[in-house]
Amino acid sequence: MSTPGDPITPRNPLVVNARGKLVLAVFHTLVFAFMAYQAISFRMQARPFPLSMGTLGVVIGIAAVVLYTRRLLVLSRELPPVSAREAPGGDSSATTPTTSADGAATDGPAPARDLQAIAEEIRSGGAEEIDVRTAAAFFGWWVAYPVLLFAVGLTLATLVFVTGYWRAVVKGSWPRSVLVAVVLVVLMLVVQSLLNLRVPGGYLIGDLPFGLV
Amino acid sequence: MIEAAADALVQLVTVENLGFMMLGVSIGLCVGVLPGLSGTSGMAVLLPFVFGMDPVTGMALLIGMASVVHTADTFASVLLGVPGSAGSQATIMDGYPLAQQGQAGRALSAAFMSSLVGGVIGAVMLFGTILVARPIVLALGSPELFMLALVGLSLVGILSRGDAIAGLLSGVLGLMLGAIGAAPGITIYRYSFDLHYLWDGIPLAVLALGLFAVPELIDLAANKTAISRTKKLVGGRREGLRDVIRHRWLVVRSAALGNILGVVPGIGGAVVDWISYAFAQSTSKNSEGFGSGDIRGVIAPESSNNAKEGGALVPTLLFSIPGSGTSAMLLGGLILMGVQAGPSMVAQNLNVTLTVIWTLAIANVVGTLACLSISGPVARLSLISGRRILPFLVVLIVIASFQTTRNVGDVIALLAVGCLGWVMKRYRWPRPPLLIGFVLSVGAERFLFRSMSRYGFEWLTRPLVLVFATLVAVIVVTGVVQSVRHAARMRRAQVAVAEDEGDGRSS
Repeated sequence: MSTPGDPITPRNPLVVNARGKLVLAVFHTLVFAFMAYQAISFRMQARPFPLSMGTLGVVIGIAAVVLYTRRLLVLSRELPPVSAREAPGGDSSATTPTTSADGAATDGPAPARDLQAIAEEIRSGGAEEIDVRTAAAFFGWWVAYPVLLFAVGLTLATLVFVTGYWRAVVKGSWPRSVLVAVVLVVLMLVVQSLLNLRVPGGYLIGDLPFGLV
Repeated sequence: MIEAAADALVQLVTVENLGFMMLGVSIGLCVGVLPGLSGTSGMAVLLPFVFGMDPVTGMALLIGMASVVHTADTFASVLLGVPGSAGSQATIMDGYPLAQQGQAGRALSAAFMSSLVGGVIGAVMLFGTILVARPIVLALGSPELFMLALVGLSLVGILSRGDAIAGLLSGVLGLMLGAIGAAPGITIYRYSFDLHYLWDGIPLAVLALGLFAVPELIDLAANKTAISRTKKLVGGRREGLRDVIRHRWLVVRSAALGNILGVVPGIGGAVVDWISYAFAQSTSKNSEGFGSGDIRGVIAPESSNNAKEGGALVPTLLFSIPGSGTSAMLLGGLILMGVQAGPSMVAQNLNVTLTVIWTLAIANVVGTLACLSISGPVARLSLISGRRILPFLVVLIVIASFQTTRNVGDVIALLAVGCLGWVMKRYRWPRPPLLIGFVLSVGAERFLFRSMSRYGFEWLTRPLVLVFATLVAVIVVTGVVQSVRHAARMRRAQVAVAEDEGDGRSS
């Protein structure tokens, strides 16, 4: 958290969060604009709902873009100077209105206990601190399994995927990795037969011996 | 009537009927535990088996399954932050934060106990409303049902946790995503981009799994953490049970609300728990903790979603109006057993109607006891590292999402929505409003279409429409006021934090 007088760096979670929200607001607005525009070409009976909701979305979206841009600009400058009286436990009776981070006047002091609790919330109120590259790598595992599933079917895909994952990520030994994979395959096959679940057949390798898919 | 109820109980309590009920309960528990599978999936599995069965036995099987799905679906909601089924979406709001605080056992037992009480209250209310429900159901036309959908939509302000504008955008995006596919009453496929998969729209289960499960599991693995951020579980089953006793009136209130909403066809189980959650939040004292691990946020939706099952049976059994996919299949099951649901059901098949009520009550008790008995070991799963459970859940969730339409598009949609969900989670963009908007979209458009076709703009002056409009206004204003207060408190705290840390540096 920056202090008064220190510019907030772009890595500050609050700034990252405000930037992300601005991007999301722009994304939503563009989606709504596209969908509302498309709705104009629909036949009369199919038009009112998407057109009205899309238009409503564009209006709210523009308001959100303005709001988040303003918030980002304010956060990118400095936090405003404050008097000691507005601090937790200060003389609440003498508190003067102050300009907040997004430029609005605050409407009175909050109890000191509340402030401490909310201060913690503020500290954790920015963007979640997650390494994007690590998250992307794990998303890769999410993509890998369906690709395998549609290529070689449930049994082989699960065996290869779980063994590979257990070796690469959990750093398990080969025997243990294979054992974990086999247990999961057996469980999945039992659940599949009990609940009559359909699983995709492999495009490259079709049915396996013993009725396995 | 009491005598008939006693006779029905005697008729139900045979080895064969109880055996089939237990089988239904077991399947219902399995279906509930697996994320993405709903009561409709369970019904689809069982329906072929009831052909030609004795109606009492067949209903024991079907109702036994349907009544416990919403008890078992709590496991996924609490432990993974993933809706176990559409009816347990709101439970994740506080159930998952409790699991992160190491209180999974407490959250689960409170949820199961509330489900039990809610289910039994639902059965009792079904018994009581059988004779008086007809005028209520018939009083609701398309305009009122459209307004009820708006009541559900208006909850986004309350559920956005201080960022109402983001919540509204999210809700509208849900509405627009719900508009993908066939338009009501006309063969026009909107926003399908010539993809056959999108003709029926994005399936709810896929959207819910992508929005919540994928981001949560990616972050768990990326952070090298377990679901519980504490190393030991705190607050066990006893504390959860004490919570339910402490908040007994909340349980009763939520059950009554769930039951009443369940009677209304078309509202659907996916909305009842949100309404109940928002109702609990707005009527409870010290509601600031909602959304970050308040046990009342678990108790309210769990109580209402089980009670809703009793309510949903009123229009299904008495008027042949199915309020959900599960009810529609139940009607099909009755026909397969040679029973015609409708107004004559109470007169001609009173014993079947009453055994349904008994099954509902008994199955809830059995299901809850089963869930409670395994909640301790299952809660320990929250201590396992996210990296170790990821492969199991990837397999499970991919297979579960594929069940929705059995099309490769299900998995592609899961991953696409998962990406969006991850970005939304990272920037704390509210995700529940998107789900609410999506769930309500189809119904809202259909009811609006019918209202305009039948009444023009005159439907706006109907008394019940005005009542619901007032309710919407009250909810929206309350949400906005809460947001403004929250923003003001955050601003003051921001100033205080800056000064506090400035003092720290200077000293």
